[in-house]
Amino acid sequence: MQIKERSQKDVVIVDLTGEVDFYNSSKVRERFINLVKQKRKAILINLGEVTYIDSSGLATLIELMQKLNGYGGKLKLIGLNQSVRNIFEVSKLTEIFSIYQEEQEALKAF
Amino acid sequence: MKNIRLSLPSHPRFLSVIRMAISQVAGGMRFKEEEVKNIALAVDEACTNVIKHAYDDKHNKRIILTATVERDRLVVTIRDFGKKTNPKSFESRPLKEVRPGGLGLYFIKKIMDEVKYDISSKLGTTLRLVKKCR
Repeated sequence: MQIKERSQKDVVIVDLTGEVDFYNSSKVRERFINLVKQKRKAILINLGEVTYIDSSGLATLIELMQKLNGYGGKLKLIGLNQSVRNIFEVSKLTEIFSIYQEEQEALKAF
Repeated sequence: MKNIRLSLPSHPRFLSVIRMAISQVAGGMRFKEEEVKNIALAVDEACTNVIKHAYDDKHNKRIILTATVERDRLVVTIRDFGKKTNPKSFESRPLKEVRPGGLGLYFIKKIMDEVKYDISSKLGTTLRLVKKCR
């Protein structure tokens, strides 16, 4: 699993790659907590290269969203492939997160 | 030979091995591709629960996983030798209650047709998961 960060104006884009599970989700959480400490207000998580996510990976996303909501920040997700989308749908998280297919579309929505 | 028995340390790094093994067994059955992925997710979540709750995140314990192909179903057992599962903790959280934890058990129950905890052994729990081919 890899985590990379880049910026597009005021938006931090986090590119996640590989499988996110209980083994490595704490690393993802650390990066997210770091962004929260910086009080970043616009975060876009790119899940386009994520091939698997379990409940601990989803928990890090839920926690990030709740922390952002706490100080008026916004979180958006992009690029969910079919199997990751299926996990979001089973857990009804598609109703909770702002999910976009394309990066440009999500950036415009901030 | 379609059945497997794995004895693995309770270290999260082996979760990917468990997913791969279960996917190989379920992939050889009449399950759809999406069902195979879901079964691997359910078994991963169950093993994660063993590491977190039965073994309190201790990584030098043992998990024994079996997957047995029966005529129209896959039977998976997950044996641990840790703290017995508390029957009261069998409830998954309601989905409308949005919070970081508690989704794992929801996935297990939603995906598998049978979820049965056996705490009759002196030590630990055996979880039996069944998924029927439709």
